[in-house]
Amino acid sequence: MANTEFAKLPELSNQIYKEWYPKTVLVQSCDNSFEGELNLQTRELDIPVYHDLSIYQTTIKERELKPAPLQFIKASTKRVTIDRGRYSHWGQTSIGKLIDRLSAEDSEVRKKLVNKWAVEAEKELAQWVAFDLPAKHEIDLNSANYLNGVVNSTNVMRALDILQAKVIQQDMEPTEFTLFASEKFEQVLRDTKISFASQDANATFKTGFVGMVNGVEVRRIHVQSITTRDANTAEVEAEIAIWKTRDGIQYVVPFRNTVSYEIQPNEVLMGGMGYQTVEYYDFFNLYPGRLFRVKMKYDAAASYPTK
Amino acid sequence: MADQDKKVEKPVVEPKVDEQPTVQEEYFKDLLEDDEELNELARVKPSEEQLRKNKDAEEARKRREAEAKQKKEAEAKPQPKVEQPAPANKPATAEAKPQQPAEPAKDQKAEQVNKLGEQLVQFKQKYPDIDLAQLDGDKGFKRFIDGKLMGKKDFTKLYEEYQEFRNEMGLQTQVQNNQIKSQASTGSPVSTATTGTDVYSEDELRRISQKLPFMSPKEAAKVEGKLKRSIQYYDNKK
Repeated sequence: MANTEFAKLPELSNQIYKEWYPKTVLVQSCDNSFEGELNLQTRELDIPVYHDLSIYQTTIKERELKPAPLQFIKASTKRVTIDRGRYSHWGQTSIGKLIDRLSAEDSEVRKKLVNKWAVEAEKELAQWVAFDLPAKHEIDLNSANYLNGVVNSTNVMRALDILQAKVIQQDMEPTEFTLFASEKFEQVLRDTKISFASQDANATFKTGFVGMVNGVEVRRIHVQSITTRDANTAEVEAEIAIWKTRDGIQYVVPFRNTVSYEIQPNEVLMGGMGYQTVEYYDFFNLYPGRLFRVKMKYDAAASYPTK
Repeated sequence: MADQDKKVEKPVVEPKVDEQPTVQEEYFKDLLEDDEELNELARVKPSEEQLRKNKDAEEARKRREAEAKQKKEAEAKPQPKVEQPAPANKPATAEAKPQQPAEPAKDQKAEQVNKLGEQLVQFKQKYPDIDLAQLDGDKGFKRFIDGKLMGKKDFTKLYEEYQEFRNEMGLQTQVQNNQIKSQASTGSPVSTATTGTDVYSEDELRRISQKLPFMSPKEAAKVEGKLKRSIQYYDNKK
């Protein structure tokens, strides 16, 4: 075999995906199981759509048991058209060297790329929920309807009670939900001096896991754009947290590849020859019914982050 | 290109088949002589052992009956002791005892040898690159087939099970190690279609690489290990 580059290129994208995905907290908490293959010509993909299975009632008298209408799970798919992708690209004087350097076990370039991709994906998803979710899926804890004041160690337990009550009110199970908040919320929880129970040993090793507090699983996220920070100390003064189930958001990556191509020396400064593009098509499919944004202020004078 | 030239030079399977009886005989001899346990297994197969036990018991019973009858007759009609001395009777039956099952045992052994020979021919046809002598030196393999050979299980099947087991454990067989070493250093002629189960053939590698960008993370995880090994394998082969 003369050249293995054709195999190394897609493998590189796969490897980078495998490395950056576990670094995320929010993205990792989304359902990433999907079936179906992207049609590169039409850029269309069928993804399974969640739907509620109905429960039917009947009496136990004989001959009264009639079959209810069947629900075909397989038929519940949605056709989506991918209209954007994202990529990183850079050049080097030799294509072969570039791919080898990136594929190497301890490649610093790849480590850098992995971290950047993780941060970018977290940011994109968090912003979607914080700024684009319909208003009816918002819980503003500081408003008069709820805590009527800032979130602190004296009322944080009530805040968690409210979150669970909102879920129960809509016939959902609170244990399916997880709260994603900043390090400030964790600090407020610690100020209560209560011990955080861990549901199971595995949960402790989940990225960003803070603990089970008052029956709520809390995880820490670092997304600057959904927080407002103090100008001097950089401590969080207000934030938009996310209260969601795993199936509240689907994360779909139907295509990931690496492309290399040559470019003429006169086309770039210093005459680079090899170019590499790591590219992904990915998107988030939101199910607002299983998703809330939670506005919290820790300082009454602070304002909420805006888009 | 040099690799391809070497591939062409590679002897086709048929001439090897002609040579095989001697290699197989040697291999079989090795298997039998080197491994005492195997030797014992060759003699005592569980099902045959039962058969033989039954046969021996039946013969012993018949012998006892015959002796009792003879004794009765001797008592009834006393015969001259010289013709059939009682003490001589015992060694005579003792001599007859091993003689009777000896021939079927010989036949069985010959049958087993033939069977194993056939299995080795089939194995060679399926895996022309595997050196039986090397395989014989693989202690792990010998331990694995211990008690399973000699007509109980097909040799090729045993080898495949062994490979599967090693793969599951993330290990390479000694033979695979030797193959990889020799291919890496000398570019020994290996058909792309028979690179074993550890790496993809060139065609497979090409096909999977084309499909990889579209695979779901779960699907990709399934092929990833083998894909990496294959890339490394073909890189070393260059």
